[in-house]
Formats: sequence, C-alpha cells, structure tokens
Amino acid sequence: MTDEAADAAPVGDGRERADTDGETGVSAVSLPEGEARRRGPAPFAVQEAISPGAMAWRRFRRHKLAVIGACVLAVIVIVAVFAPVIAPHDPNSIDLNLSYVSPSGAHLLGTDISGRDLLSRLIFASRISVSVGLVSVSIYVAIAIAVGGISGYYGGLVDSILMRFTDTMLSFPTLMMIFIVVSILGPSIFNVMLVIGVFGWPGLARVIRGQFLQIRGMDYVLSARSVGVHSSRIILRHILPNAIGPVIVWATFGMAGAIMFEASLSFLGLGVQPPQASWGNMLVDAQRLKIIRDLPWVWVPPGLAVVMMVLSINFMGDGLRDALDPRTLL
Amino acid sequence: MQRYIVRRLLVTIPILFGITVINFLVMNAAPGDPVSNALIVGAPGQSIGDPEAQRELLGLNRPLPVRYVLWLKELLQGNMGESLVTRRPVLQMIGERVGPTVQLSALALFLSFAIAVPVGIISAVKQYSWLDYAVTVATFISASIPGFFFAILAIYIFALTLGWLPISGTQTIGQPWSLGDYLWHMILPASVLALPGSASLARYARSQMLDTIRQDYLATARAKGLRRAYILARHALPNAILPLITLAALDVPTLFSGAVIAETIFRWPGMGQLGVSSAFARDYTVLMGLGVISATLIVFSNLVADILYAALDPRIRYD
Repeated sequence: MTDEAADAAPVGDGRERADTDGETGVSAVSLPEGEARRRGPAPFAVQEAISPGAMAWRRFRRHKLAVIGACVLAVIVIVAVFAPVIAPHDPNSIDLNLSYVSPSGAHLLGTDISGRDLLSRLIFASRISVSVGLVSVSIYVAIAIAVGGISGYYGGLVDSILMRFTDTMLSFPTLMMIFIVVSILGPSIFNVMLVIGVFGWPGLARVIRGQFLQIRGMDYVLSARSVGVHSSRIILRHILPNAIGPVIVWATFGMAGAIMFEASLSFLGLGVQPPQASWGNMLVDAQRLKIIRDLPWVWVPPGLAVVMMVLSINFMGDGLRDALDPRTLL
Repeated sequence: MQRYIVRRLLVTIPILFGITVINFLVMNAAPGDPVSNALIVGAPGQSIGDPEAQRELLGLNRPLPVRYVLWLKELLQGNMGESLVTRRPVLQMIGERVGPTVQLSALALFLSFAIAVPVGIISAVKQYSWLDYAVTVATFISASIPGFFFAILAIYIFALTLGWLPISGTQTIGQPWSLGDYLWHMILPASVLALPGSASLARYARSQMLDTIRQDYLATARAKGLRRAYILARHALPNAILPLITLAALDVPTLFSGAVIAETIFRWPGMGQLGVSSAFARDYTVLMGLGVISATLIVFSNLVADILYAALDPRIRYD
C-alpha cells in the first residue's frame, strides 16, 4: 500500500496499523497524489470492495497451521475415497498363520491378531472417521440451528422453554447417555453417528441463539418484517447467513470431537464392530498389557492417525475462527 | 446474595425435572419390561405366574405419565429398582462407585488447575515468547489426543518402560490399604483425565490474564511504583482467574466422560467402569440410575460454581 493512503487513514484506526505490515491481503486503493491532497484526510481508508467470502479466504491463507491442517485433511479424505485402490491388501482377509507379523516389506505396518494387514485396515478405517465427522455434525448443526434460531428469534416463553431443555441436555454426561442408547439400539456405526448428533447440539444452539438475539434487533430485519416476509424466511435467509461464522467454526471443532468420540466408543467395543476397521477398534487389542509392552507397532499407528486427523481439523477450526470473526483486524 | 442463591436453586428444579423425564422416556424405549425381563433372566425355578396379571400388579398397564409420577415418587425416596443382572439395589451398586469417581475427578480437576494457572499466567506475561508458543502448540496437541490413546501411551512410558507408577488398580497387591498407596495409584489415571481440561484452562487463563494486564488500574499500580511481581500476584491474578471457576464447572461433564475411559483402562472401580460393563450387559436399570445420578452431580457442581462466583466477585449483583 502507498504512503498516501496510510497517511489518509485517521490515526488510531486499527486498519492502519494492521495494513502497514504489508501482508494484509486487503489493500487500500491508492489515490493519485494530488487527489489525496485536495480531499484532505479521508475519514476512512478507501478499500477495494471484496466479498466477505474472499476476505475470509485471504485471512485463512495467512494462518499457516490452518492451511497445513486443511492439506492433511484433504489427503485423508482422498485416502478415504480411494481406499480400495490404495490399500495393498484386503483389510478383512484373515490368515491365522500371519498373526502379529512385525512390519516388513509385505506388510508395511505388520498384521493384527488374525493376520489382517494393518496398513490396509488403517486406510479403510479413515472412511469411518470421515463419515462420522460429516454425518454426525450435519445432524447436530441442523438441530442446533432449529432450536437456537427459534429460541433467539421468537424469545419469550418459547425461548425459556427451549433454553431450559438445552440446559438439561447440557447437563447429561454425553458418554453415559450414549451407553444407554447403544445398549438399547445395539452398537453400530450408524447408531454412533446418530447418538453423537442427537447429544452434540446444545452448546451450538446457545451460540446461535445469542447471535440471533443480536441480529433480530437490527433495522434490516425490522424492514423485512414490515414488508411482510414470513418468519421462517427471515430466520433462514436474512438472519442465519449473518450468524453463519460461529456455526462453521463450531461445526469444525465439533467434527474433531465427533471423530474422537467415535474412536473412544469403538475402543470400548461399543462403536464400530469388527471386522469393520475403525481407528478406535484397532486399538482394542491394546487393552492387554502384553500388546502394549511388546507390540507398539500394533497400537501406535491408528492412535497417531486419530491425533493427526483431529489436530488438522482443530488447526483448521482455529484458522476459520480468525478468518470468520469480523472483529479480527486485517 | 441470599435472594440470588434461592433464585439459582429454583432454576435447577426444572433442569432436574427434565433430567428425570428424559431418563424415563429413554428407559421406556428399551425393549421389554420388568416382567418380560424376569421371564428371560429370572431366578431359575421361580415362577412369576401369569405375565399379564403381573403387569397389572406392577402398574405397567397404566399410561406413561402415571407411570412416570409413580417412578419419580420412588426415585425421590431413593429407590432406583434393582439391577437386571446382579439383582442388587441400583442405588447401592452406584453408591459404592461414586466415591472413587469423585475422588479421581477431584484430583484431576486439582491437577489441571495446578498446571493450567501458572502456565497460562506465565505465557500471558511473556506473550510471544517461546514458552507462549510452546503452550499454544501443546494446547492443540493435547486437545487432539483421544483419552484412551493418551492413557495407553502413559502406561507404556511411565508404567511399563520407566516403571515409575503402577499400571492399574487401586492398591498394590498383597499390601494393606493405605492412603499413600491409593493416591500413588491415582496419579496416572488422574493425570490422563486432567490433560484435555488443563490445556483449555491454560489457554483461557492466558487470555484472561492478557485482558487484565491491559486494564487501567494496573497502569495505576505501575505508576505508583509497585513491584511488578506484586502487581501481578495481588492486582492482576485474582481478577484473571475468577472466571476459571465457571469454566471448571463446565468441565465437569467432560471429566465424567473422560473418567469412563480412564477407569476402564486403569481398572479403577468407579461409575464409568460400571457404566461400560452395564452397557455390555444391557443392564438398563443401572444405566438409568447412572444417568440420573451423574446428571444430578453435574447440575449441582454448576450450581456450586455459580454461587461461588457470585460470592467471590463483588461486582456481580444479581438483584
């Protein structure tokens, strides 16, 4: 950016300070020298008009760890999609003669107790984590938007009732409730997604409600209402898009949480059932001390896979939080 | 203050009510009823007579709301029924397990504060130092390690490889029970349980401290010529860590969920372990009891935190 534009910005304007670091992405349109003098100090630095989405993308790109996280995540998703092509062996083919074979050329990560190739199982298990993350979070974002949106928009009695309900749900230790539901419905990947979705929404619902409370008082909402726009349309088309930032951030962190939850449940034997491989149930063997002590190559890779995926998502969430928060200075 | 406590207590009532309703509804979704369960798992040789007459006798034919009220009445008198598997009273079975879980969680909570507060404060005071960055990175990593993996790693490193700490259980086999031995066995599971909470607490303590340091009254204190250490300890610290109380209370449900994993891996005889074994055994009555009791414990820890917060912060007036 040019010196003129920097000078034109009023002293103490947050943008000015941030702009001078040169890496900001948004650059003020520079005025010709004479033009700037004639106008005198402008009240605001004139900015190139860019869409909020593009602005968020520019901010996101500056968060190095978030970009790395997104790349790692992209690799995991590609692995999950092309698992049958990438995996060197059939993940479920049993060969009892090959029980617990150490890592070697034929089996890069070794084999498990039934002689199944661990690398192939690791690759196929990524499908579970990716789908759990997407499906369960979609379920709970939908519930949270419905509850939080209605509560925040209508207020009053509806709000009180829904928020007490939310508080109640928030007081349940999720894992305990999941035990109950799993013991009733039986353990399966589908039930795990459903349960995480159904019990995951209260925190986000509160955030959305808070956003709605703020936004519903704004003039443009009032004007939409005064020309007779239907409530549901105001909620979905006028308010929600302006409240979407925190929702995206929460959904990202929620995805990380859901993946860890599925892994934990499968580890306890209450989630994805063998022979289907999940990163969590690949660690079931590691409940035996002999395995922990003597065969770390059995349990370390799936554990690291969970950590890597969750860490990438968390970094991405952090980047998104910075990128989508309008208060973040550029 | 008293008025606030009373009002806060009144707010908990609908929540507790909601907890019992949800528990009851979920329990009703479970397949079978006590009569059919008795037919399946009942004591051998014991006849229970005509199932329909039994249902009539037990009131199972009545409408759902009526049954809820009857159930609630029993619950309030401390009757949670008996386990479908062991035939022992549920309350008694859970009662034995509450102590170990609460002790473990309390130690974990203490540990996470003991780690998080100094770390958070130091990284705020030395903002952008290597320590500050290390804390941020450590926060992310510890928030991304599933508890069970961390527990196994901890066993591998500290119990199996280094041999510093016991692997599992509550006491050394062949030795009489002693408090020292008990605490010794608690260290590993409590640390595993404390980790995720302490990471987020440290981050929160850091941002609170950063906010506090920028306040005008700290500039005043500096202008008076007070020593830096005194200013930080006496003027900044109390204000910075006060909100952590609320955060700690919000952490309790997570702690309980974490305890399930830690108890299973470290064979700690708490509520979480009972929950896992009951889930496998489909022991619904015990699971329902665990749901009600742990939810109630959580509600009350929130209540205590709110009241503590109000009592400690004179700026808060709720009248």
